[in-house]
Amino acid sequence: MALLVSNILNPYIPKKFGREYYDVNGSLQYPMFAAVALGVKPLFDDWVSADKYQEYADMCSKYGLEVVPDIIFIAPKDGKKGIIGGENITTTYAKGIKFGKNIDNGNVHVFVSKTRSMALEAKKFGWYPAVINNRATNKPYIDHIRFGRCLGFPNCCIDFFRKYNNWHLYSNPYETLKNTPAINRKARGSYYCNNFLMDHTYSLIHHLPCSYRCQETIMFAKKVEEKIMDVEPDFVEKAAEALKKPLLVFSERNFILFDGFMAKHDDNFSIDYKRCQYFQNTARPEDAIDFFDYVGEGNNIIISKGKIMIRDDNSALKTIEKKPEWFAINFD
Amino acid sequence: MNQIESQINELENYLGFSTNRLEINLESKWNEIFSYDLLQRFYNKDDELKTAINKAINILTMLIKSNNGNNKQISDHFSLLGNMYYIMGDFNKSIGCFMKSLSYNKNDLTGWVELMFSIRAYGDFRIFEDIIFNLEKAYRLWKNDTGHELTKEKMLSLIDRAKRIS
Repeated sequence: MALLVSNILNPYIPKKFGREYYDVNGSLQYPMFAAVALGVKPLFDDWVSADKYQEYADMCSKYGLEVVPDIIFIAPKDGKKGIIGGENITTTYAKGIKFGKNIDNGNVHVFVSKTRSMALEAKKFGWYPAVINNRATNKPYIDHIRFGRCLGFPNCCIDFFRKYNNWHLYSNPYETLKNTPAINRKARGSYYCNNFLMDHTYSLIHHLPCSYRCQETIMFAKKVEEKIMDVEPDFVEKAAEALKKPLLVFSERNFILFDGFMAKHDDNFSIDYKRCQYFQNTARPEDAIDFFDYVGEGNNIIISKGKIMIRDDNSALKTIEKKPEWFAINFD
Repeated sequence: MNQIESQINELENYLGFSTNRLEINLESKWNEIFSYDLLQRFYNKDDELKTAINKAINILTMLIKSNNGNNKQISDHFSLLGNMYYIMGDFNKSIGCFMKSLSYNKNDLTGWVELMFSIRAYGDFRIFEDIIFNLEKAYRLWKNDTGHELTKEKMLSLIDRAKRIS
C-alpha cells in the first residue's frame, strides 16, 4: 500500500482577527498571539524573521501589544557535535547574535505583552539557549518557573514542570500521562490539555500540563477558545478537530499524529487510521524513530505494554519494541 | 573535625548535597544541575532557605577569618550563597556573591555564568549580553589580571576590554 503520510495539519489563514499576524509571521503561534491580544493571556514569546521585525512590532502595536526583542537566532551550518553544552540542547538550536535593527538574517526572539514592563520582566527570565562562540548555556533552573509565571501558566503545571522537566531523569509527557486519571468510557485526555501541537498552529495552550485533564488548564483553554470564537470561529472548529486526533507519543516534540480513531482493548490500545504525520524534534535527531515508513504503509497499530505492531488490514508489517515511556493517547 | 568542617557538614546535611563544586574551565560546559538541586530543595520553603543562607554566611565568616588559604572553598561557598539569594529573588545580593566567588577563584567559569544571569535577572540586559558574547575573553582577562577583587568597576572594565579584542 502506498504511504499514507501526509501533512494532516495545514497552516491556518485567519479570515479576520489576526490576519496581519499571519501575513508577517505565519500561523504557528497564532492562537497565543490571539490569546494575548484578546486579554486572556498576559504574555507570549515568539520568533520573527529579523527582516520583518519592524513590520511585526508595528502590527502588534495595532493590536495594543508591546514587543521587546532578545537576541537573534541564526540557523547553524553544522550539527551539535563539538558544541560545548550541546548535549543539553533539547529544542531547536541556533547560533545567537546581538539584536540590531539593521540585521536582516535569522529570527529574533521576542516577548509580547500588553505592557512594556510585563515584557521586560519576562525577558529577565526568558533566556533561550542559543549557541554563542560555540557554547550553549542554559539559564538557572528557577528561571523556567519564573518565566512560566510571566506566561500565565497554572501553578499546578508550573510545580509539575519543576519536578519532572528534567529529561535526564524523566519523560515529562509520560509523567503527565501517569498523573491523568483513566475515566471509564472516555478518552484519556481533554483536547484542551493537548499541548503537543503548541508549535504547530492548533493549540489552545502553550505549556506542559500537569495532567491531560488538568482543570486549571481546561479553564484557561476554554477562555482562549471562547474569546477566539467571538472573532475567528473557524479557527476554533479546526483547532478542536486537530486536537482530538490520537497520538503515539515518544517524547514532548516527537510523536505521530493519526487521522483516525483509538480504542482500548483490556490493556492494549489500537489506532485505526487513514493518514498519519510524524513530528520529530529536529534538535535531537538521535531520538527520531526509524520505523515511521512502516506506519505510513499501514492503517492500524496495536500498542501493548512492550510492543507496537504495525498492520495493513490483516497483515502484520512490523513489530517494534516499545520503550516504557512511549504511549498512545486520545482526546475528547 | 574542626568547627568549620563541622559547620560545613551540618550545612551539607541540611542541603542534601555537597557544597564542593567541580571547577569548570573554557572547555567544559556549565551544568545547571546545581541550580536544579537547590530549587528542588527550597521551592516554596522560604524559611528553610533563610536558615540555609544564615548557615552559609556563618561558614563564610569563619572561612575568611581562618585565612587557611583554601580559596576554592571560599569561592564555592560564595557561589552557593549567591545561588540561594538567586532563588530568593535578591539579585543585588546574588550579584555581589558571584563577584566575590570570582575574586577567590579566577579559574572557575561557573562564576561568570552565574554572575551574568544574575545581572540579567536584575534587569541589566546590556551588560548580560556584553558578558555572554565575550564570555571567553572576559574569563581569560580576569584570570590573568593581577587584581584580587572583582568589583563592579573592575568587571565593567574587563568587559569593555573584552569587547575591543577581536
